[in-house]
Amino acid sequence: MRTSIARAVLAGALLASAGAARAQLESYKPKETMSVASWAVSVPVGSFSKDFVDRTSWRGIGFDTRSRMWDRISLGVGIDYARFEDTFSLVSVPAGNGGTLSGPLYRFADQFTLRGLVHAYFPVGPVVPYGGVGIGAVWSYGYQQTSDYQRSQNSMALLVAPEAGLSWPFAKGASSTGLNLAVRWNWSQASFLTVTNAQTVQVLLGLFAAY
Amino acid sequence: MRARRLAGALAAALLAACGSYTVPDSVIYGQAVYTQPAPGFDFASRTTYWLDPTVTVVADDGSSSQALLDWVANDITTSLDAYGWSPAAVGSADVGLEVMLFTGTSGTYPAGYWCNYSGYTSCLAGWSYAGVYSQGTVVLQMGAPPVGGQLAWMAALHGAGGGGWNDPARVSEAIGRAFAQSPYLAH
Repeated sequence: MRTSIARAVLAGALLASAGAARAQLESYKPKETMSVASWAVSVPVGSFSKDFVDRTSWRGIGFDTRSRMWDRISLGVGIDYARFEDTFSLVSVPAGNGGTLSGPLYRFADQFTLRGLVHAYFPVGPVVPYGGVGIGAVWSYGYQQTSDYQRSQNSMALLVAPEAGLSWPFAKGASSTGLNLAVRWNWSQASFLTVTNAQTVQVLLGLFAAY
Repeated sequence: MRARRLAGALAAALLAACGSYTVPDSVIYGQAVYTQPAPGFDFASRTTYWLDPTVTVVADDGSSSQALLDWVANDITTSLDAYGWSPAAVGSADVGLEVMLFTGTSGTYPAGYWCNYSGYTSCLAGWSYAGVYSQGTVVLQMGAPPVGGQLAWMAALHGAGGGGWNDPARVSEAIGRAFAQSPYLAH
């Protein structure tokens, strides 16, 4: 008898919590959902620039999706990718015990990031400046080659990416679309090959669609 | 209209962001040079050298000997003379230099970026990625005394897509670089 009562209470509790969850889902109506596709120009900084490649990456791409949960605050997720590469006509490095290794060198590095996002918006006339931060992970892959000798290594690391940007809607109705410009600092301790912290500063030029 | 053009330009830039990589020929066909002195060896007290006129060649099908080419000998002696060394007979020289050539063929079969990372052994690369190439490593060894002595210094000059003696400009540059990155040989 006691077991039957316990089962009934448990079933009731589960039904009640399921109902509450459904009510929460039904009430999930963001004020606006915005998706941004961007071309990313990335500048390596710190050890990434000093010990691996110091050339600006013009090959990068990024996607963000944000939901404005409150008037001026949005939550979202973002991913992006950037390719860095450089060729050195001659690099000479110590090889231990007085040894030296030299040769022409080609290097590239790829970085993929996945970030959870929070942004705050400060509309000024037709443009919307914003600031925010992304926290997530960065996967890095480094490759270097001299003659037919190759070496590569990858790593996964925590990523913290503060950013500031500007949205400018040029078509507005029930939905809107426009340009998005942002500057982001990707802070991480990603280490691979000779790099001890693969950090970048990015300029992102993108298109957004919001509804 | 301006917005559409802008959007088109941005879409083109996004597409251009995706692509593969190409290692420049200057790197693939460049020479990697490794030099190593014997720790603690006293180069300062040795001033004369003997250059072995015979080269040992180790190839895929065995080893053989050949005469040291004049231009290779000239490159070596020029660098040593510039560092204050003097040539001497084998019996009286402080150190001896021997040249060896390791040459052969290697296969390349990069499975590609994604295949490497995912670890799929069945992930085949395109035919254009696979191939066979020749490569060679010239080794210079300095020993004291000249015959049967202790190894004092060595240099390995490695090249792909030929290697060996078939590209004198490449080998000459590498010999010069081997001595340039070994300043402890200078008097």
